[in-house]
Amino acid sequence: MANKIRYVPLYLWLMFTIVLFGFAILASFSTTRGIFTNELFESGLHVSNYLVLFKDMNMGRYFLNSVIYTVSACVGVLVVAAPAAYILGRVRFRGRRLVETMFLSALSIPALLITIPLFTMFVQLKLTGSLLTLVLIYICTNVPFSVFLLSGFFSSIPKELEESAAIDGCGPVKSFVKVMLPVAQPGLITVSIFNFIAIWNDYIFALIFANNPKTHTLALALQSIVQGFTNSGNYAGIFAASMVVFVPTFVLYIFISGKIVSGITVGAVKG
Amino acid sequence: MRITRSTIALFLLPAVVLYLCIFLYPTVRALLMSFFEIPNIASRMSDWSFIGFDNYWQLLHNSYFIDSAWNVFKIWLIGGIIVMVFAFLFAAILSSGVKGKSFWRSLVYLPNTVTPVVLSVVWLHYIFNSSYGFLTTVFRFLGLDGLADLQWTSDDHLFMSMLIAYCFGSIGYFMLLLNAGMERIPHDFYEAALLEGAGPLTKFFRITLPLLQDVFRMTLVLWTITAINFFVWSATFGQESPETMTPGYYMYIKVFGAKSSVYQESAFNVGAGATVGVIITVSILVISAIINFLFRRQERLEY
Repeated sequence: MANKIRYVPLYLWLMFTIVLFGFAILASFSTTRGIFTNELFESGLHVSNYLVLFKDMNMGRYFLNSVIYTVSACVGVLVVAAPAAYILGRVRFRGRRLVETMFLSALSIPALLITIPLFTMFVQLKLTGSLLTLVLIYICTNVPFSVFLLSGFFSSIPKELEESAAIDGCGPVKSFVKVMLPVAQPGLITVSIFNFIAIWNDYIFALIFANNPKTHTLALALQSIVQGFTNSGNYAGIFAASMVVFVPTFVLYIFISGKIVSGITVGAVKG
Repeated sequence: MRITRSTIALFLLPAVVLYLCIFLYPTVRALLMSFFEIPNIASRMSDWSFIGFDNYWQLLHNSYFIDSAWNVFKIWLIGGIIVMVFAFLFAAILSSGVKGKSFWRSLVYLPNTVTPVVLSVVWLHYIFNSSYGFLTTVFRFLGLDGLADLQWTSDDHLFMSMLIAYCFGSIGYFMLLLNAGMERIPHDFYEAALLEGAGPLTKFFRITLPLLQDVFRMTLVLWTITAINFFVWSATFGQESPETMTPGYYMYIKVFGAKSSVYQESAFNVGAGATVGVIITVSILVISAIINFLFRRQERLEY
């Protein structure tokens, strides 16, 4: 009896999740009239909700923007964070604690506090208004966490690997690129998944730094489309727009959820 | 292999420089800005005028700010209780040997991977909708007309509704942290307890909870950081309404301006915005220190 009761909250959560997102998906193929009369498909399936978004609302462009931001920032973070994490995770040197504490302290600085001076800095350096702005912001803000997580991965790689690389005549840079990076690949992937989700779903930095409509992210565009459609009462359109943002991350999540869960566990145990 | 100091420097330099430019310098500068009146975000330092603690004094006498701080306190306390209760419940269930554990764990975590913009839409326009919405339909079906007629998104209930939706999207992360902590407790403890005839509840309260103290402390600190930085939902769910205003979003309005008319008269003092940021940071540090103090331990339990 007590054994079965354990499953009740889980199944309730499952049902609620299915109802929540299931309704949104169904409603996105319906009409506003259908939604309000509780007869979603009385007039058949409506793909037009989606066509409008991509044709008139430029959703394709914002989708592309978000892909550009997310992919280039994820790569950029690795380029900056991996070498630093490698040193912190494997090499003993004077000042190591200081550098480590530094990156850890960045994790507790609220993003809100630094946005104002950062924005001023970007304005003065004339770095605003282009796609590059947000790419830089996303790289910078995700480096400390990535260094923190990756150094754990690097420190768990056996020492013999580098030694044999050194015997084969590899210098430190070459052995890092040719030996360490491939071995640390699972770690690099885990970190990138985290960064991907954080950047794809980001709202704060996009709101502040993407002040040119051409550089808007998908989440930002969704918010203004939703506001517009709410005013004009296009409820089917609201659901369709949300699903354009939701479905890609959901599909990705189905494939990688195991990695996310174990990655957070690693971070939690270390922290 | 010998790694020379220049190699160390070469590998560390990009990340360290980035940290100094993006975290250290802006933090110091924000602290400095909080003592100045600054007309515009692009103003040069020569245009700032020093006003000492005026920004702080004015904020503490500004009803918009006080209301927003009160909101964030309610989010921290009420939301914290809801999130922790559910996170504990699910973490305990998942570590009790249910079938399909990794599926359930991913499912509970799923809402955390969805952007708040989408979560706000589905909650606002489906769950809380007063004509075809989920809650109305369910309560109507159960014959609870009083609850079915509740206007979840009216001014009176907007804050509560937002808090419920927000908690739904936050439980998974804290569940994972607590679950990871529970699974690190060695099985021998439970086996020994079983031999002594302890039931599941006794095991939970006598073994799991005490050994989880460190993880729970960390979880509370992380919740404090998340709750006090509350920002996005004020925009996406609350649409800038005063009912859902938090200091974080108030800071944004102070610096970048408001869309809705309510806040326009008090907008634009970049210095005051920085002050809000400093207050947020200090509150996080103080509350975290209090939590760490309350959960301090004379002897560390090693296991």
